[in-house]
Amino acid sequence: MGRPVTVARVLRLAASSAAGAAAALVAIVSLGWSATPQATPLPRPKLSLRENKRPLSQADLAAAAAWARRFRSCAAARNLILTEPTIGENEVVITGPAGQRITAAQSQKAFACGVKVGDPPPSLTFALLASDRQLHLYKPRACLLPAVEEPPA
Amino acid sequence: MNVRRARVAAQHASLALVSFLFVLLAWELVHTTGGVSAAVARGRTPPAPTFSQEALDGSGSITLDDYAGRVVVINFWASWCGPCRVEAPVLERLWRKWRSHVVSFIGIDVRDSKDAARAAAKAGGVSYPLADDASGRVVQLYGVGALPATFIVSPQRRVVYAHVGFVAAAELDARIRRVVDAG
Repeated sequence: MGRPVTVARVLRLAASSAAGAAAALVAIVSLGWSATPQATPLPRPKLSLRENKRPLSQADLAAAAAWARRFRSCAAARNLILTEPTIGENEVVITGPAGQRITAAQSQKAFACGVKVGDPPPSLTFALLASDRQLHLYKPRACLLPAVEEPPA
Repeated sequence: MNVRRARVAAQHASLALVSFLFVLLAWELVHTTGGVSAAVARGRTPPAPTFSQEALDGSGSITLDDYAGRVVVINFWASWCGPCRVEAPVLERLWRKWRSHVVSFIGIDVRDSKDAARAAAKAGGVSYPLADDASGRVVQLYGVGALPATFIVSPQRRVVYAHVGFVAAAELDARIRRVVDAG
């Protein structure tokens, strides 16, 4: 049998709870938890390829298509046959022969041509991305940072 | 009798400990913001996390606290990020326009080599202070997942604007004006 529950006992237990809670609040205030947002690692932002494309002018598209043709010639010399580059929504798209999708291994092979042909035009703003088993040449709005695994020291 | 007293004391101590931990947990859950970016996206104006980083030009350190009372535009960038390099001249123009109006600019170079960053800054004609964040400490503090990212800190040290990606000059100019006018 436990001890009978009395008002005095309940009050004593409540006082213990309150003391614990008060100690926590003192710790929170003294450590300044309320003053600075937590440095929590964030997941990568949801930025799809479509959302990350900046609008391209006709001059941009022409320059990108010209670069993609040089890239295609380089790939052909490495036995990777690509289709004539096509202009999509704010991008130039390269696919495999007869519209076939480019495999990951072929993408790796193709990217070697990036070194040979040089940076996409103008070199600072275009990006070549393998997505949906196609190669997309576009102007990105933002560069994703690698996901952070641990909070900083 | 002593055993009973000890048991009662242990009960009270346990209860106090549980309350202590419960309050800490509740506080953490309520105040976990996911970083400054997430808080601003929810319409809040969180306090700007302070930082003190080595200046990219080796002139010492750049500390947010040194800019107390000013509007501070913080731009996270890197030399390896094309949009950041395109954006640099835009920021430089705005910096030159606003610097006499209690507005300061700080560039935070993220996960970059110092030599590449200095070269990119020189190529972009950047003259506002640049700080090194090779470890990514500050970028994480501000909850930035992509570059470029731009924040405006009010004179009250609140983050009042956050933008991820290339920011248009007119957009940033209007935002700065709004913060300056609000005092």
